[in-house]
Amino acid sequence: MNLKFIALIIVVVVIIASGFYVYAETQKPKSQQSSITVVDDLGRSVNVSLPVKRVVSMDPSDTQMMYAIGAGSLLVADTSFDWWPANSTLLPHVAMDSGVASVEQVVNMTPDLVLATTIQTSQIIDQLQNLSIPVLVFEPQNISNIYTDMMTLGKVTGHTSGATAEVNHMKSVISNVQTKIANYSKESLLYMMWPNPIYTAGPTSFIDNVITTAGGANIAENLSGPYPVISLEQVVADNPQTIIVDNNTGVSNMTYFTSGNQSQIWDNISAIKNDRLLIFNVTESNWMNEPGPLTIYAVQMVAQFLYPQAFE
Amino acid sequence: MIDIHGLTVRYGKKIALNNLDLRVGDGEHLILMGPNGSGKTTLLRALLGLVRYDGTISLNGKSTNGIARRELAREIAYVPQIFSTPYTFTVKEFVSMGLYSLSREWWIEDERIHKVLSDVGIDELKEKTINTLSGGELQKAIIARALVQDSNYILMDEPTAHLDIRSTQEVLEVVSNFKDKGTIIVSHDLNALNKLGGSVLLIKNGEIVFKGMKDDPDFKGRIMDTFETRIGEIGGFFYFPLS
Amino acid sequence: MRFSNYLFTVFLVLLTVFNILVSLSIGPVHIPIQAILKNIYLYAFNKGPDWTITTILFYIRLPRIVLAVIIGMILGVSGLVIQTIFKNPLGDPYLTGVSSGAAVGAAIGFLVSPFLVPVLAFVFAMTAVGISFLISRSDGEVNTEMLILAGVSVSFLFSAVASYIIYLKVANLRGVIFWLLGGLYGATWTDDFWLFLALMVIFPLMVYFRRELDIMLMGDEQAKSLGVNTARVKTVVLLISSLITSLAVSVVGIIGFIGLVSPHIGRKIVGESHRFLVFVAPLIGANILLVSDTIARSTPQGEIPVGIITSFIGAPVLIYLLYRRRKI
Repeated sequence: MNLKFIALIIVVVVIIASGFYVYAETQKPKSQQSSITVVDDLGRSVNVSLPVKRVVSMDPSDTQMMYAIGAGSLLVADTSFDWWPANSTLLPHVAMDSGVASVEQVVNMTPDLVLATTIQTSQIIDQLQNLSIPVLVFEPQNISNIYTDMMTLGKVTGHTSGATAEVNHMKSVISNVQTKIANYSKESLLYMMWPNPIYTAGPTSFIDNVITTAGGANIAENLSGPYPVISLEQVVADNPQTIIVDNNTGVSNMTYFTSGNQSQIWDNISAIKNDRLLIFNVTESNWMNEPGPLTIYAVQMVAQFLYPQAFE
Repeated sequence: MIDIHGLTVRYGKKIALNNLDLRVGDGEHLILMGPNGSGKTTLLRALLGLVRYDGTISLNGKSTNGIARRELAREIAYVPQIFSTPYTFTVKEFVSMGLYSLSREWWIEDERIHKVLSDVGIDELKEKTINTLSGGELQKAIIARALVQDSNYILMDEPTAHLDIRSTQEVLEVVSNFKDKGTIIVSHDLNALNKLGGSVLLIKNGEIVFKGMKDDPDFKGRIMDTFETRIGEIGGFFYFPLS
Repeated sequence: MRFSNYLFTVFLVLLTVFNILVSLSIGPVHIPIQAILKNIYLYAFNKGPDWTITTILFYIRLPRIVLAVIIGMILGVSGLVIQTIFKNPLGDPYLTGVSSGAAVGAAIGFLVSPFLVPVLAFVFAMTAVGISFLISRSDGEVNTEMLILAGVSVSFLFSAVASYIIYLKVANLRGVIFWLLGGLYGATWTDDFWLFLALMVIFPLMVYFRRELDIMLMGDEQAKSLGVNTARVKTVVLLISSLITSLAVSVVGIIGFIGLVSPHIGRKIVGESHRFLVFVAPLIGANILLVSDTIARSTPQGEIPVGIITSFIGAPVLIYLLYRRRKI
C-alpha cells in the first residue's frame, strides 16, 4: 500500500517534471536574429544578441558610462549605491549593501545584457551566462581603458557616435589639464586609502594612473600590487610634499596628524608642515574610485591640488 | 583525632554515604573495605574536603569545614589511586610538591625529600622523570610525596592495585612502617589485610557494617556477608578458597 | 639539568637583546649600521641628529620592536597558563572568547569610527570572556571543561556577528582584514607604556603562581589535597590572562600562534616545570614575534600581516622539536 503510494507520487513527479522540461525547451529562443561578439576587460569573448533593449548594471561605473554615451535610457536596473546621474537612483536595484547581486532579481528584469565588475563572483557571471544572458565585465585599469570600454558599450548598445563624442570630450579635458601643468616640477604625493596601516595606491592601480595623469609623483611607485601597505618608515624617508586622504578613513582634518599618538613623526613631514593635505569628501572619493566619465573630475581635482598656481 | 558525625554525601539523588559516624584516633591504623560503590573513596574525598557533605568532620575538635586547604594538607595527606601521567617532572620535583603546604619554595627541604625517598626505597630514582617509572616505582613516589607532607594522618586509596607481587610486598612493607601516623587505607587486597595491623572497617551502601580487629570472632562472617562470597582463613590469614 | 635550564634562560635573554639590536638595523628603509651608531651618538649628545634617521629609528622602529617584545611575552605567558589550567595542549590565550569578542568590537569600531576600534575591541573581548565565565561557573568554581566548550560556543556566536557586520556594513574591508590578522604597524611609545604596565601585572603574577601551576598539572583533586586553593588560582589566572590578552589584542589585533607554540617549544627544551617555563615561554614568544614582525615590516612589496609570518616561523620549529623528540 505504502510502496504503491510512493511509486504513484514518483510517477506523477516525473511526468510533471518532463512536462516542464519540454515546455522550457520550446520557450528557448530558436533563431538568433543578429548578434555581435565583443571582448570584455577579463578577455572573455561575449556574444550579445542585437538589438539590446534592456540593460542591468551591477556597478556605478557601468551605470555612469551608459549615461555618458547616451544609452542611459536602456538601463532597467542598477545598484543601491548608484548616485550619478540623479535619475539612476530611481531605477530598481539588483545589488544591495554587500555589492553582490541577486541572480534572481537580475533574471527577473529579463535583461538583454548585464554589466558587471569583478566584485561579482565568477559563479554569478557563469549562472547568468548559462541562462543565455550575456554579461560584460568592465574593470578599467587606467584611463585609456575607460575609452575602450566606452567604445565597446557604444558598439553593443548602438550608441557608437555618443561613445566617440564622450571619449573625445574626456581626452580634451585631460589634455587641457596636462598642458596647464606641463611646466611645473612634479610634486611627490602620498595617497592614503586607510591611515593605520597606511594602505596606498600601488603602481598597478587605477588611482595611480589618475595621480600620474594629474602630474603627481606617487611615492608608492616601487611597491607591488594595486593596494599595498606602505610603511611609516618609507613615508618618513620619502617625505612626500603632498598627501591625499580618501573619504571613509575616519581622518577628517589635520589634527589626526598633528595631535595624534604619532604627531612627532608627522609634524616633520613636508606635506603636514606646509599644510598640503587634501581630504576627499564622499563625492570626490567617488570620482576617484569609480572609473568612468567622472574620472576627468578626479584628474582636474588632483591637478588643482598639486599645482594651484597653474589654475589661477 | 578525626571525629566524623552524621556524615551524608549525595551525588544527585544517589546517597553515597548515609549518616556515618566514625572516630579515628591519633596513630590509629584502619583498613577500609567494602564492595565497589559502597562509599569508601567518597569517605576519603569527604575527609579531604573534595566533596560537599552534610554532617560534621572535626579534626582535634575543630571542624574542617571552611578550613584553608594548606592547613588541611598539613594535617591529612592523600595517596590517590595510581594514575598515568604524561608530564616529565623528575621524581624529586614530584615529591617536592608534597612540601607545598609547608612552603611554596622548591628545594628548600632537600634533606627531607632525600629521607622520604630512602624510606620508600627509591632514592636512586630521584632524577628520573615520573612518566618513565614502573607502576611500583610511581606508587612509591606518590607515597613519598604524601609522607613528605609530614601530616598526622594519611589516606590511601588502593595503594597496591595494579602492582605486581614484588611491588605489592614492597609497598606494604613501607605502609606497615607508618608507626605514629593515623592511617586509613582503602584496599581490596587480602594481602594488605594480612600484612597490615590495625582495625578493619567494613562499609556497604554508605553505612558502616563492622568496625573491629581482624581476630574479632564476628569479622569473618561479616566480611563474607559484606562481599556476598566465601573467604577462607587459616590462623589469622585470609585467602580466596578454591571452589 | 637544572644548570642547563638556567643557562638556557640566560641565553634567551641575550638572544632577545641581540634580536632587538639586529631588528633596529633592518627595515624597509635601509640605514647602514654606521649611520645608526653615528645618529645615536648625535642624538644622545644633542648635536643635531639627522631628522629622518632619528624619526625612523626612535619613533617608528624602536617603539615597534619594544611592542613586539612586550606582546610576545604577554601572549607567551598567557598561552602557557591557559594550557596548564585547561590541561589542553591546544590551549591559546584566545580560548575564552577574547579574539572573537574583540573582532566584534573592532568591526563595530570600523563602522562607527576607526579611532574607537581599540576601546570597543577591549570592551567586547571582555564581554565575551565574561559570558564564557558565567556559563561555566559551578560550585563557586570555574569548571574548566565547561569553560572550553563555553569559550568555543561564545567564539562562534561572536564570530558570526563580526562576520555579518563586516560583510554587510563595513566599507573599508582592508582595514578590518589587516586588523583581524594582527599587526604592530601602529606602535607608539604610548602603546608601549600601557602594555608594559599590563605585562608588569601578568608576568610577576604568573611567576608568583608557578608553584601552584606545577602542582595543578597533576589534576584538581591532587592539587587540592596537596593544599592548593585551585578555585582561587584558576579564577585569578584565567581572569588576569584574559584581561591582559584583551588589552594586547585591542592594540595589535589578533596575532595568532605565538600563544600556542611558545609554551610547547619551551617545554621541549626546559621540561614541564613552570619554574623555568614561566620565564622561557614568554621569552620565546618575544623572539618569535620580534623576528616575524621584522620580516613583516621589511618586505620590499610592502607590509604583510604579522600573523602570517608567525605561523610560517613557529610551525616548522615546533614540528622539528616534536620530530626530534620522537627519535630519541
